[in-house]
Amino acid sequence: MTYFFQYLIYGLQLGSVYALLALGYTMVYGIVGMINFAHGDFLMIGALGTYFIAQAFESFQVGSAYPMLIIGLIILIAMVGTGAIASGVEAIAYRPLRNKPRMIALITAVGVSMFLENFPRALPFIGPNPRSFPTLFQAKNLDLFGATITTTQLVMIVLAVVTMVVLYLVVNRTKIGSQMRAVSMDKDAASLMGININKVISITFFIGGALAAVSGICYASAYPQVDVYMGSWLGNMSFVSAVLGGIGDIRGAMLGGFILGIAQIFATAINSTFGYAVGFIILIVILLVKPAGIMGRLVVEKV
Amino acid sequence: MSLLEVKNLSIMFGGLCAVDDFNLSVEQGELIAVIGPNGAGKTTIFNMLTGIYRPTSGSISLDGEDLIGLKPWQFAKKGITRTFQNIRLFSNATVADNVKMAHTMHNDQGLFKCLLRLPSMKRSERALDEKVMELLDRLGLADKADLLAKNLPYGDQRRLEIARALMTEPKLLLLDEPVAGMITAEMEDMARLVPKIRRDFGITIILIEHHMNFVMPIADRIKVLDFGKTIAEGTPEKVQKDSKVIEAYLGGGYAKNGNAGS
Amino acid sequence: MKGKKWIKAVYPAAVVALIYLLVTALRGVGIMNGYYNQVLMFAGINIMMTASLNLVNGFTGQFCIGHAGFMSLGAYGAAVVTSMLFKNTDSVFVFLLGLVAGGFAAMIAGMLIGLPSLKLKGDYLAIVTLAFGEIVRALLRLVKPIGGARGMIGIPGYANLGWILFFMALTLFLLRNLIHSPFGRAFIAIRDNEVAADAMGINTTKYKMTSFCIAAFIAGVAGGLYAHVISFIQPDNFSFTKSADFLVYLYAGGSGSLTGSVVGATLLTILPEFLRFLADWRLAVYAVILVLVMLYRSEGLCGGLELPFMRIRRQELYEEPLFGKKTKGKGEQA
Repeated sequence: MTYFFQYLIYGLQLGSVYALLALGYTMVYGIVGMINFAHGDFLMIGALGTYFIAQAFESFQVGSAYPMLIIGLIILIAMVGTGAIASGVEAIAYRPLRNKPRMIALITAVGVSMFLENFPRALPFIGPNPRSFPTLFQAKNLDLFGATITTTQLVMIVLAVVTMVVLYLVVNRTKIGSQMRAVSMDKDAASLMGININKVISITFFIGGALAAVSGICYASAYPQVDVYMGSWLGNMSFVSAVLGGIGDIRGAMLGGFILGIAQIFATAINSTFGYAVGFIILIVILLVKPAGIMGRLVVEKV
Repeated sequence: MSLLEVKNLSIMFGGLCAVDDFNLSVEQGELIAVIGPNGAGKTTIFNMLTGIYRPTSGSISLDGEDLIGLKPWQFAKKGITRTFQNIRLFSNATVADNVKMAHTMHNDQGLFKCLLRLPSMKRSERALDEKVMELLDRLGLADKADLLAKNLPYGDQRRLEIARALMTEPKLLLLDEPVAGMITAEMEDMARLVPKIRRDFGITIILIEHHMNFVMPIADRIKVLDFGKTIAEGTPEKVQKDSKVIEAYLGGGYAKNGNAGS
Repeated sequence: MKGKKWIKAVYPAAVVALIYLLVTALRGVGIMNGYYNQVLMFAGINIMMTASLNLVNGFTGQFCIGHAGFMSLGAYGAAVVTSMLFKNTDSVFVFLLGLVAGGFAAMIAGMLIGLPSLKLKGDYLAIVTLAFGEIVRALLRLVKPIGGARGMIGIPGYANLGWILFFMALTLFLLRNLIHSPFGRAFIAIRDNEVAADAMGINTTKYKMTSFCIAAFIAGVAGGLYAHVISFIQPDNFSFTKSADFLVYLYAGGSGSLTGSVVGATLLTILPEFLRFLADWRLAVYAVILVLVMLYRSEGLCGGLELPFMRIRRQELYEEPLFGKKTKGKGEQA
């Protein structure tokens, strides 16, 4: 039983990483209707960026950790930076293709992803080698039903849930949220109603990028190693989470992320390769039963 | 026995009853029009008659064979095909290919013959092409056979939809608003074409329209729908004088003021 | 006129033969080394992969983004036949048997995944095929007799440039015929308007399955060839990155055009080799080129156009057959 809770905690921890990343995936999909394959790389930029920012703030270090204020600052810089990069990518690479067939934008996203991975790899001060991520905060161990949960894990899980709730409220209760929903339903009509679509989409990408940065920091705090390729498989898994939960649905992204994280940890306990595959198996099973994911609604074509 | 027998057909969307208790019996060779204001449930009836929607209750039988529960392509195979209100052509294929695509279910050439393009397959392709060109010729599209469907003018696109539907060799052809969005000259063309098709192909036709002056001269019988219910039926003359029809079309006040039939 | 038709019927085959002779000659005088030869072989295999993916994505309008999964099954299927079942028999027939086995292995998998999932639309189908590819990779890692995660080594190097050119030309020839047949027309009808295709009596599920299975078979054969070029295969060779490569070749070349698949796969296989002088910057530059192509030529390099011998015009049905009454298939096989 102790093992069960311990695995559950690890599962929730991994799930919160997936969920945070899947939120961005799902928002971009919901509003622009494209699968942004480069989204996972925003996580990498966030994590790698944090590594360098933390180095720059090294003089503030107390022991091996940082004071709370500095941590906040580091995370804020990473979030804003990654968000800005995400908006930039949208403006340069995706915006001109908005009215083209969706596969075109998808291939461009593959190209952007290649660039985001291989450009830093070629930069002499980054390179392909993995680096160990600094301990931002000193974690304390807490006891929960005989299993150990660290404060870091607790913060991550709570953070993911809180972010989801906030995002849900933003989309459903605020002005920018209603603009986002309008753009997602009909771009042309939204534009005729005086909504600046470019601005709304930029903000969506910014939020997605910022959340990806947070999820990157979470991931790297749990598994303290960062390299330029870390985003690609995490991106795939969170994409699976988003589809599992019903792509385009914020609550679904969250749910999908946690289901996938927990399933993956339990399956890994049996066999590590199986752990990787189990997410995909769950995905196929769920899509065959509910073709639009758990929370998704199927759009029926009008004849 | 009538060709098509529709009994007590109803469909609910959520709580809304889009079509309520629709009955229709069509004899071989008839031309029937279903008219009614927008949102009366006309296209929904076509969607049920072609298997796109499954009715909540009621029965559809063609030549005495029950069709409920079949897939759309099986409806086509049994002999019901249609055109669409919002044109649905295979827009990146040529006009000739569009028509050939509707012949798919009659194709008897196997996969391996097609992969290797054996002489017998080429002969069958040639026979098909001749047949298609003859059909296009009858509909006045032969000189446009090699254009892409999406590059055709609007009126021709409607004709091509009819040509395509005819290629499936149907017993019953459903035309969904064949003159929607057409200018008068195109409409007159269509008013000549529909009876001609009926004569030449000996085919039974049901058409949906709300252009009264297009429907009146060509239909044998008319059914009038409003809010999913049949409010009148009979010969064009009879329907034209029906007060309920006038009310549905022109509003209640018009009929009450004694202008009916004028 | 007779002369012109002769040329038309023969020159695709002649071009393929000429490429082969040219490469052989260049190798003879030492301009072309074994490495470049291998790059050309990969180009040929990539053409097969891209053209088969084109059948599903470009002509049938479905979204398969896990094509490398079929390739891996073909590679393993073929390698099991040649290096395990017939380990001690060194014969062309073993090689061909292996390729066919690989093709069937991929096709059966295509059926298993296609039957339930081809009802899904658009992006949902895409994600299922992605999941399929990754599940296949994970399963291959788990099967110990074929090397697990470490992979299979010592696969005999049966495939050479001649074989690959032959299979590539055969693939293009068969696909061209298929597309200009009732089957191909049904595929295109489903792509252009699935509702209308259904209403015109086309059994969409059946034709989607047919397209999917043929594409899987070709990908399987291509995978078999691949295994017999590099002699060493690992499950991780066939990850999503590989599938993404084929998608890139397809859409950069122009989907819905076989010529586009040939151009896309060839150019983008060779391009990274030309960029070798950039050292570490190579892939970043490649990515930039790709994004620029998509931005400024989003219909692909060929933009849906076909070379004359890759299409069959309606009028050709009325031409006199080349060899009197007993016409054989034209094109690469002539």
